[in-house]
Amino acid sequence: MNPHIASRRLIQLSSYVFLILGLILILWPIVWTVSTSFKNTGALFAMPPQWIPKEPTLQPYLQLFKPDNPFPIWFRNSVFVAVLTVLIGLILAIFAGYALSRYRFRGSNALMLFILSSQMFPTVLLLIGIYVFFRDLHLLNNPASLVLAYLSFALPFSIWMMKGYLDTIPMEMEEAGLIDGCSRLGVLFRITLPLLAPAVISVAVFNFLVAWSELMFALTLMTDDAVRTFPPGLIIRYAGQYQSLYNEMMAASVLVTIPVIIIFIFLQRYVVEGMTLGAVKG
Amino acid sequence: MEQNPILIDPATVVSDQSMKRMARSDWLARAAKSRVVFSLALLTPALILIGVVIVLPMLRALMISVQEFELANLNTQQNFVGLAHYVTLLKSPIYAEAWRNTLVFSVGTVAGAFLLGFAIALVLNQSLRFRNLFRGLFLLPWVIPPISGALIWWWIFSAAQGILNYMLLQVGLIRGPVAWISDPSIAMYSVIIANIWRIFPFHMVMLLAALQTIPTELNDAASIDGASAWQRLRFVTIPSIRNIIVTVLTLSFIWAFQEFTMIWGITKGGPGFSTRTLLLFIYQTAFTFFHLGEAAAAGTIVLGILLIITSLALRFGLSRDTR
Repeated sequence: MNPHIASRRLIQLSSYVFLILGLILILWPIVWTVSTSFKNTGALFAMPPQWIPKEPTLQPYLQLFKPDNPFPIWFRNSVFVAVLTVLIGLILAIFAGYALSRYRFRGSNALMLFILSSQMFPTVLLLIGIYVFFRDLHLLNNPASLVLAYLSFALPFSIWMMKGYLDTIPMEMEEAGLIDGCSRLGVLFRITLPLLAPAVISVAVFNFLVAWSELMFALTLMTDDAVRTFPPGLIIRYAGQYQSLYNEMMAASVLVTIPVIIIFIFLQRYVVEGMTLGAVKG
Repeated sequence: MEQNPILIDPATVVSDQSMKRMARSDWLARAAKSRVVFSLALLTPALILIGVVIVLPMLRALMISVQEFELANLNTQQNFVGLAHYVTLLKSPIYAEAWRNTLVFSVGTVAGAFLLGFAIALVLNQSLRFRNLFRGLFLLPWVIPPISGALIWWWIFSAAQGILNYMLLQVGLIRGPVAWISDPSIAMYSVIIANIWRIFPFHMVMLLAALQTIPTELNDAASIDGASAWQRLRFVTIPSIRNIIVTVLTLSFIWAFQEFTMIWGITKGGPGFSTRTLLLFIYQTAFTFFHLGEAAAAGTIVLGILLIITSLALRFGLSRDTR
């Protein structure tokens, strides 16, 4: 065989081996987690460790839905906060991104720079300010406060993503619409918006991921179990008296990861695009 | 009836055109004005929100940093103490330790994640089948909610008879069970490992996207000229994607600097203070010990340092033609 082809085959083969070894090295914690979530308490510390439980059981999952377990409440609160964050964030980001993209006024570059640099503010400093601010407004323990807080970190980046994507859409069609007598708002909704679909999905996914799994603000702004989201709920419950319920803990972890996995499977493209958009091109 | 062109008054023709011109420029002027109004209207909701939820709280926090704000004692709140908190902090050995921990954590995490992510990106950059599948699978640690990641690693690290110790013992890499998070001298490394696991996919994805923009001719020309793979990496690949590398490293450093969930979830800053990074220090000062003034001051110092680091990194890291 031609030595070049042979060495190319060898490189390809070793690449596959490398990648598969890498996957094993990286993904084993996830496999172990899922496996733990199906074990009964006795099997948790069995030696040698069972990668596949000898007596798999749904008990840990069922425990999460028993009446005295706050898990469903947390889950519902998280969904509520996340959906609101996505909707409000999308509307504001589309509007602001459109304005920044279509009309360059003297301050618009400075505005973009400010928006980007707000990413750099230490979140905990922001938390202190927000905590005091919301406490004075009696907004603590109100899901709206969490939505606002999450928008504070998600919005700047969302606007940046929207603007970046809008910059790549030529204005000819919009101008044609204007000349044909369409109102400006109409142009935005009927001509530009359909073209924005990929960016809308990316921004929606990004906002959802931010709101779904945030811990620090949720821990501080919501102290009442009835309105808690799941990140602080899980930490408080399983760091405290329910420490040894590792199987239940892992079952909860799996359940809260499932929505993210679903999004990821169907929208992987947009997750990646969201991450790389602007950063690679810009 | 067709108009006789000769009978048309030239004056009317001229004024017709100039009327059209005036009408058009009038339309443009009105269009421009309505554009401004429209754009401002669109921008306003976002600006209001940013003002209320970012600018106002930040200003409030800065104000708090020069007050004696104790959450538990409403009487002493709002007492102006000037830079007293800042002075206390700069003299405090606990604060210094928090800085040390943060730097060790950030540098360790970013370096490890970068090397791992770059290696995988380089391998994935070839035209392999299932490349997207591999990339998707490698993305999983990043996609999983950080709280789940923290709990997973807490479980893996915590039990002495845990799976990690077992596997390492079997393979012979360790001689006895390791106290991953109960031994103060090891806890930091454990947290770093967990965080590398979680964030390397970000590096991988960004670097892979960047690698794909390098034209193959560059590397081909280099190998024709006799460059080894290592030389090609050093002199062709890396310089070509220098800006992305700088951006990724900077962003990742800023995020690692502020990491809360993973550390809080795995060790809560313990054992002792061995994993207490700045963010945890500030958080505990504010919400466990209720010294909001001091916490705000500590946070402001962090803000200043981060701004400086970022502008330096961007100024010197990015290649000249971007600046």
